[in-house]
Order: sequence, then structure tokens, then C-alpha cells
Amino acid sequence: MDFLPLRTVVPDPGTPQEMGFFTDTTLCIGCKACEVACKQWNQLPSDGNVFTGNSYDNTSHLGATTWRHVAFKEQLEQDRWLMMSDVCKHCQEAPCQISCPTGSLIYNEFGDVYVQPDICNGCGYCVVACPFGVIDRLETEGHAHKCTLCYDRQKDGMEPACAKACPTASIQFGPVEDLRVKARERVEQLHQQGNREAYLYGADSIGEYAPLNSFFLLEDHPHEYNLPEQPRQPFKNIEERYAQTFATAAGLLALGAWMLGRAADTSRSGAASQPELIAERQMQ
Amino acid sequence: MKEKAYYDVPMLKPPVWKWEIAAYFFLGGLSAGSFLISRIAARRRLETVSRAGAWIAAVAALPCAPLLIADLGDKSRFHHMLRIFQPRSPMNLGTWLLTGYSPLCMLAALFPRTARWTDPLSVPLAMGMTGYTGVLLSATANPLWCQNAWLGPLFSASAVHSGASAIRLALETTGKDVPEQLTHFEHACSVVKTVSLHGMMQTAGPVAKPLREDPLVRWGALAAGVAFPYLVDKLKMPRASRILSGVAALGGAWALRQALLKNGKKSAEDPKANRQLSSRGAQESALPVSSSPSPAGIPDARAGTQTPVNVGVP
Repeated sequence: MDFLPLRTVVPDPGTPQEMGFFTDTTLCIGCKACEVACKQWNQLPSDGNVFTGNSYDNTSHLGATTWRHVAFKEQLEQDRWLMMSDVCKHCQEAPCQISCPTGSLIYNEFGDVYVQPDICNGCGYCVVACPFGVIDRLETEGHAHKCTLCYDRQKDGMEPACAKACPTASIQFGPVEDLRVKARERVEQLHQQGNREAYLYGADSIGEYAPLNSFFLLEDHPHEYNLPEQPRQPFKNIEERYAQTFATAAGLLALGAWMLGRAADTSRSGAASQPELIAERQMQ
Repeated sequence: MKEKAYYDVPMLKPPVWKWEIAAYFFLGGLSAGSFLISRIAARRRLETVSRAGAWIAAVAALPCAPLLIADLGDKSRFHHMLRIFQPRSPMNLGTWLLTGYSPLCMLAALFPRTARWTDPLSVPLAMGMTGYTGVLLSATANPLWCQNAWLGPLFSASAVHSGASAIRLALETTGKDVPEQLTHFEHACSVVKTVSLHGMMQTAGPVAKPLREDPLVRWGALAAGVAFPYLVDKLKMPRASRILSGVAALGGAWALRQALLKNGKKSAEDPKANRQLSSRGAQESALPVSSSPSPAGIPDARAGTQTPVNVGVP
């Protein structure tokens, strides 16, 4: 049963293609230019100076004021240093967008998930809906924020700040269909070079979860990058859950009607009007 | 082989909701539950039950919208909730339910004779009000709540149970007759609630362990909220105990909401719980890597082009 389709807006065939990111982590050198460029272009405040001790990752995770985060994982057994520039996945069936009660979160004309900052009233639902822990509410001003995929730059025909700054083209920007083709070729190339662990995360559906417009090329299990192995689609089968809930209420309503009907019959038949019973009750 | 993990950084964000939301869950449910019983009682001409239910519903409904507004990050934009009608977002649906239900339940208390005309609208709205908050929690990525089909029925049963307990409490404290069937109905709702809670915890799996062991659940929701009122009634204890049991039942219902929110928050902040959610049913995922270590210790990779694997409901 799927009469509440998950995606609000299906782009017209004639409109511009859906734009997204292909982040090839095998090319990432961990320079964090993407973090800096994103902060600078979007005028995002600092999140404080914390040395986490987690390799070179002092940012830890995405948040309301961090929209690019470079993850570092030293793997001494494999003689390898995993580096990944994490970002909002701009899911094709984004739970944040579905959850938003004000209509602040929309799909813009580039197929990307965008928070309209003048509408959000900070209810916080998107924060718990995101299976990747991307979007968050900024407590100092009460609204939710996340990567806009540089909507403002895209409107002027420019590429996002992070893609522009990335020195190795680990972050590639373009129409999602083209990026998928490039990505599959890249994985094939890596396999032929002997890197058989390379795979794409989000170029296609991941189990129950629709594809990501911002997808990744990874070399190890998603948990090593702090990505979910099976992202959850919270709104899957929600129609059934609504129905089951309503049925429970209906069942209890029917039960109540029946039971209280018998109470009414009892009182009408005069049981409660018997003086002995009334006196007995008053003594309790 | 060491578990695959990213240090001790959680994958997910915890809910930003605080005590206002637990209070709203309780009061909104109580209001809707009392209202439904009140309407049944009116149709069955049980006047005292009906009037008690109607007033409890109206008074409990009063703080609901203020509580929700107080929880917002930007309170001045509270009306933005009504910009759209998007029923697949339980929060938006709930806003409309509350907006429709509140004035009707006030009307039913102030002008009881008009209530029967608004029943075709107010009763379905109230039915929605009892359980939509449970569906809302289930429609999140939170390890404790995610996709849990029992949450909606649990909240619904708990709301009707709270309504019955509150009406009984009101009648006991004002010295009025309590129809035996009302108490029996309260117990029946209690059974549905307990079964739903058990189902919810089973579905949530190992992530539900902190919830199961939370004193708010053991002593609050179950002992005080369910067992104590049942014992008081079965042992035909005096009026003072019956009043206490009514308070305990309501306290138990509030404790249940509070426990669900608190443990949901904890599960989001717990990296292990995050990973447990993410690996649940992931054996058949489309990814070439699985969470269980392969003999060589290296995840195996399929060819570069992936074909999506259709995974059944986990």
C-alpha cells in the first residue's frame, strides 16, 4: 500500500537534471580544503577548537554549522589511512524533507534538498528523521541547517565551494546520472588495479533506502566511515502504521461502547437504585 | 576481528525535544482518551461519566498547543505548521488534528448538547490524536523508535487508558458512582497497553534493553500504572486506595512517555545502538560488504556495477 508517495516533487523531464556529488574517497588527501571552503562561502561560525585524538578528525561529525566533515581512519593492519569528505547525502527520498511539517525542507530545481531558512520554525523533527545524522538545529537561533549543495552558487552557474576547492577532484559535482557513469567506471578501474574492496555507496538503492544524489566511493565497511550499513527509511510503510494505530483506537472505541452499554443497561434496570447497594458503596 | 566502528562518535543526532514534548504526549493522549469515553458515555446516557470526561478532555487540551509552541526553536513562527497539509508527516498531520480537535472538545464541555452534532468530525480527530504521536516517533531514524509499528497502538491504548483512569479518579474524588464497566474498560485498555509495550520492546530488540530496565518503566508504567490499579480493584480496596490508584495510573502513563523519550535520546547518543540499528536486517543489503567478518578478514567486493537488491521488510 503506497498511496502516500515519498517524494513530493518529481522533476519535469524538461527541467535541469538533478545535480549532486560524487565523492571518491580514494583520491582524498585529507587536506580539509572542502571544510574550509564550505565554512567560508556559507559564513558558518566555528564549532570550537577541540582536539579529539581521533586521527586528524577534530570536526567529528556534520551539524548545523558544519556541512563538510573530513573523516580519518588509520587502519594499521591494512597499512591504510581512510579519508572521506562527508556531506549531506541529498537523498532522493529524503526523510528530512518528508518529515518537515512547515514545508521548509523542499527539493529545489536542481533536485537537491534545501532548507528554506525563513520558514523553518525549529521543531526538530528533521533532526531525528535523518538516518545519517546530518541535519541539526542550531540552538543559538533555533532553526535547522545543513548543506545547501551551494544552491546560491548553482543558480549562478557555479560549482559548489567544496568541489571548487578540492585539489584532487575527490569531490566531483555534476548531473547525478553522469556522475554515476563516471563512478562505475572508476570502480571498475580500481578493481583492475587490484583494489577489489572499492565499491559505491548510494549510487544505487541501499536495500530499503533510495539512492543518494550525493554518493560515495568507499574502500571499507560503511561503519568505518561512520555511515550506516543499512540506512533506515523511517517513512517506509507509514500508511500501515497509521492504519494499525487508527484500528487500535477504533477497536478500543468499539470495546468501550459495548462495555459502557452494559453499564447503562445495569443502571437502567434499577441495580443502582437499590438502597442497600447505595449504602454499601457509601460506606467504602 | 575488531568491530567496524568510527571511534566512539555516534552516527545519529539525538532528539532536541525536552520535557514539554513528554508532557504534551501525556496530556494530548489523556485529553483525546477522555473525550472518546465521554462521547461513548453520552450516547449510552451515562451522564456523570460523560460530563467528567468532557471536562477532563477540555482542561487537558488547554496546555497542549502552548507546550508544543514552547518546544519550538523559533516560537514566533509556530503558525508555519499550518502552511501546508502533508499527512505523511505525522507532525503536520498532528498539527491539523490538534487544531481541529481542540475547539471541538472545548465545545463539547461547554455545550454538551451540541456535541452530538460534531461527533462525526470530533471522534475521528480524537482517535487520531490518541495515537499519531506514536507513529511520529516510529517515523524517525532513532534506534529505539525507528519503524516500530507498535508505538502508535501503544500510545493510542495508553491514551484511552489514561482517559478511563482520569474519569474514574474524578468520579471517586467527587463521591460519584463509578460504573463497574468503566473500571473493567480501564483494565482492558491496560492489557492492550501492556501487550503493545511488550511488542514494542521485542521489535526494538537489543536496543530496548535500557528501556526495559528503566525504573520509569518497571516501577512507573508497569507497577504503578498497570499492576497497582488492577490489584486495588480486584481486592476491592477502599476509596482512598482507589483514588491513589487513579493517580498512579496517570503517573504511570506519563512515566511511559518520559521513558520512551529519555531512552530514545540515549540510544541516539550511543554509538553501539546506532550500529545495531544500521546492521539490523543488513545481511541482504545491496552493499558488497557485510558486518560479519569474512574468513580472510577483508570485505568481499562484487563487480563495480551494483544491481539493487530488493530487501524485504527487516
